[in-house]
Amino acid sequence: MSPPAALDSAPGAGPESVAIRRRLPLWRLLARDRFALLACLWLLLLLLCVAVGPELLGKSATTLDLRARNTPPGTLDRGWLTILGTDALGRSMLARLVVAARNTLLVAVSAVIIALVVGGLLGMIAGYVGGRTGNLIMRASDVLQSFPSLLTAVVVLYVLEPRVANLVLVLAVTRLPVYVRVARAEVLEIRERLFVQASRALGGGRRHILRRHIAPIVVPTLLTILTVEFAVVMLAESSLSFLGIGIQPPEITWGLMVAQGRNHLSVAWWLAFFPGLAIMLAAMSANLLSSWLRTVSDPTQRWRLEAPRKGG
Amino acid sequence: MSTPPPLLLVRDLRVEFHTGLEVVHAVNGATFRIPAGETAALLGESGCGKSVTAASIMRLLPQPPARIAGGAIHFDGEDVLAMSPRDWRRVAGRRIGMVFQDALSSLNPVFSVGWQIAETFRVHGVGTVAGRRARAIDLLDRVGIPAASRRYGDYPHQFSGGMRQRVMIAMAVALGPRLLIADEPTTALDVTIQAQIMDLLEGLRAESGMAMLLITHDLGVVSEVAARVAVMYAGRVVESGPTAEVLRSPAHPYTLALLRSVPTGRSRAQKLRPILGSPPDLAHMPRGCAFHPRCEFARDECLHAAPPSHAAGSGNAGPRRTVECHFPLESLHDRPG
Repeated sequence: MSPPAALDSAPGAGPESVAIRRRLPLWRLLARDRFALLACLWLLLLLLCVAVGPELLGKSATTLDLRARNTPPGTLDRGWLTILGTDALGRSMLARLVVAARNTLLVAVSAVIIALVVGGLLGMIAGYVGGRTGNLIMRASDVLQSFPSLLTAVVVLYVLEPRVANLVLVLAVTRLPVYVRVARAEVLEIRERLFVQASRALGGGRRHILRRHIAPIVVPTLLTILTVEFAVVMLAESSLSFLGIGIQPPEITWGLMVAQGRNHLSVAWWLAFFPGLAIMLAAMSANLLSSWLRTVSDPTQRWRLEAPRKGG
Repeated sequence: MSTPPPLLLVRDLRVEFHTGLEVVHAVNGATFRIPAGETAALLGESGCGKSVTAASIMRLLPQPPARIAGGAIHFDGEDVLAMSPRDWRRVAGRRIGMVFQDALSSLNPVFSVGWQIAETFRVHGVGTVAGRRARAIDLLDRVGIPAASRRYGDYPHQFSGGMRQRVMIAMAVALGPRLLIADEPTTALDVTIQAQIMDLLEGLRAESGMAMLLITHDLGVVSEVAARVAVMYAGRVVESGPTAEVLRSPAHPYTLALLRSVPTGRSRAQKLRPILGSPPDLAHMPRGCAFHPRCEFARDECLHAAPPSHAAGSGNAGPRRTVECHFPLESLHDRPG
């Protein structure tokens, strides 16, 4: 279970009986987990696209070439930009994917982060304080959850202006209940644990216990949910964009590309396939990386990555 | 009489748990006191209200379902139950420390042990970051963790049970409390480690002059370290007095039964005599004396009337010995003292 150095030394045993555990630096641990490494590289690439994509390929993404409509992927006849084919107006798929990364990821990332922070806080308060405050939070969350989230979004965005900020807000609010419920459930269990009692016996106040003892255990769980929600939010954004109340063309997102490509699915599968693949890979990478992060940040699990691998 | 007030005074404490269907009377008027600097033991079998009493002193009971229905707890002359949460936080940890039974679950698994000890100082706003670290290492050393500075960054799961309990003790005594409550500190440990932990606790107590409330069901531990003992049954202190005297000549049938159920190791022929039956259902207490269904000396009176309390002698802050029984085995007044 635990490393041999954790054995109780006999009284009087010298310090030489205590083994020194080396801690590997983070990047070495990342290099040891192949999937996490790939996920990390992919996310870094996406980050690069977000940072400089539109500046670099913005022009190619909007240049029409009606003679090259629906070019299938895999040919370099018209230059490397058409390696992933072209869309119904002859625009480079690759360039459009790169350019769309910024909108897609900014909307999705900010929406899930806002949802996590707000939902997590509300859930922790509901779980720890309980009583009337807790009930109020939970019932509000129930109301939010019992409403079809798409309907909420449609109504809100119809009333408000369909701007990016509003879109982010709507996506965040409709995804709140998941975090509230999970955070509350976790807190209900953790607050009964003995170390919380011990902390109270040592004079720790409510806020101290929430911050120092409960949050560090709840947050990794919420982060895992976040990575799953990441894909859900990207798809929700695409539905809204498809309905014309999300991102407005000529701005593009992966979700919007999937939605538009659906019409041509029988003649040009790549129009919907590549943006769909991008969404899936981004979500999966986030998931893999978060599960690695969870292992690394859990002191009782970290050894799994530090231990030498079987068969070298 | 000019006896100083006791450090801890629990008077007629009553604690109930409301389960919705019935009311469980976990503590039914427990009374005991601990003078400053002395070790007192609360002895009794499982479910007699020892831990609930300790949790009440530390204000750890979840209310509801628990309710303190009566009585008073005075620490150092202050009414614990009447304190505001803010005032109480200045007492908890700083002037009263507590050690729990299960050290693994009492430590937060995601922080290093050193960090958690240093945290005790941080909560009470003591020292600087570097100073807290140095004091935490010093404490680890004092409770007998070898190579303390190197173990500072280790996590609870990398420690053995005995060492975890040492860490808990370090946290409990970090701020030099005047009273240490140890709730079955050695129950989860094996016998050899038990002795080490008790030695450590007793050593720390003698060194700092704090008082200790030891909650246990282990008669051996009681006879070794406690100056006074209070025997609890069904939420009441049925007998109390100086440990040696109580164990030598128990006055309550329950104390006698407890003593008989423990092997002495003197003769092989001696048979152990377990206490028949089990403690009463605290939601439906028997009429009269709570112990009468299991008492070999029970007579008619025991079935109908609650037993009176006999007290004898006056020791430091309170009667020397007390017993609650219709027919005490030892006539307390006969003894000089």
